[in-house]
Amino acid sequence: MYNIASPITPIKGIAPKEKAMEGGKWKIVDEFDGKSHEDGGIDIFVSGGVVRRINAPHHKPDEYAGWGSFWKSLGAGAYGLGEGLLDTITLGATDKLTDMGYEGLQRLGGSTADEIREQNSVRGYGTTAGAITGGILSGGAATGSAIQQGSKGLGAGVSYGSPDSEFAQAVGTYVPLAGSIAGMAVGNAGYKGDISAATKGADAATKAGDLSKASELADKASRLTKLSKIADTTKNISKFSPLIQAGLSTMMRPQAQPQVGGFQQGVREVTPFLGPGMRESYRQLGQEISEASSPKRQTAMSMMDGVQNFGGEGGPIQFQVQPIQQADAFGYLGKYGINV
Amino acid sequence: MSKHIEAEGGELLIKSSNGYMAIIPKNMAEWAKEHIKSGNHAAIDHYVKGLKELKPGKKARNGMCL
Repeated sequence: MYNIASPITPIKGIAPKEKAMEGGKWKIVDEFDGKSHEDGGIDIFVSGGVVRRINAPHHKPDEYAGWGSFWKSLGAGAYGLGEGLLDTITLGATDKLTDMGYEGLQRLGGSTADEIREQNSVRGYGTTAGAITGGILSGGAATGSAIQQGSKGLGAGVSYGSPDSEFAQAVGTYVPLAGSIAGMAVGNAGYKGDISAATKGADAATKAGDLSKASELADKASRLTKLSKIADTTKNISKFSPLIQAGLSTMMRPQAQPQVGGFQQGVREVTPFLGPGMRESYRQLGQEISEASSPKRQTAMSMMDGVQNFGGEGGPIQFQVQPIQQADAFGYLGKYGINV
Repeated sequence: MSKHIEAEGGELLIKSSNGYMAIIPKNMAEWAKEHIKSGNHAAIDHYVKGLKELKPGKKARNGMCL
């Protein structure tokens, strides 16, 4: 397998890391019942995450699985993540380009129709996570676009492929946590304007002789600048990348328990497995946010308020998307011992 | 990557939530099934990492994987 994200990801350092094997849950897909290798064996065709039996008695196989073997099938998801970031940072202007690139890569890889279907499904989920995360990392200015792009990705995941695909769902577990962090970023999305306002206020207070107020506002501007740098500096993507690798459904929450599908249940099952590094990343990010100004509700999110139905009536995924309150997010993190 | 692989009866095809797939040889199939059923996924991780990895562009040598 090859990582199809790297050839077209335009910014250094944002190519998603390949997921490690450790930490996943294994499932039995098939128990082969048939001939031994001596008698001709069982011919199977492997293409990414698609495995199917074929009838090719006279065709020499590429591989014999006698001693066991393994392969990775994350390429499409990895690409989707990179593309989501690309589209977000450019505010969607590269939509056509990236679609063409994606289709070109599918052709290059000799993907079958089944594989393309699965890739499209996974790509949708991956794009959602990438887009929303890109919104955070671009400093909040692109967050509205990111969430729209994310919705598109999520819808694509449901409509193009198999929503019950465990593979797609595994990639999809990136989404809610990224969304919740995006929510926190949205809560502070006005910090760029606040930096300017605080700086001007500090200047005005200084001129007016109110040194206490000037100091307070200068300090606020400093904290907001620090937060802005976190979001704007791409090197911090690697620092906070663990944040998108688990499930946390603060922003995308179900309306009521009966509407929580397997997808979200899976997300919630992942949440308790936050590692020490991930917790530390949370703590650092939360600390930065809590040091910044009080959260604002931004218009970028208001367009997404209300129930979002992806995949049609009664579809597998139904979220109530709403602006996040900083306290909600911190309260949620507190359940897992992450106190900010 | 698209490959034609020859498996045999008794082997096990498994996949992980992290996007990996593996064919477990028949002499370890029962062991793998027991560990998956008991939730000992770390043991499976460790075992699978010791298997040959299929990569694009590589062909079988001497009749065995890669």
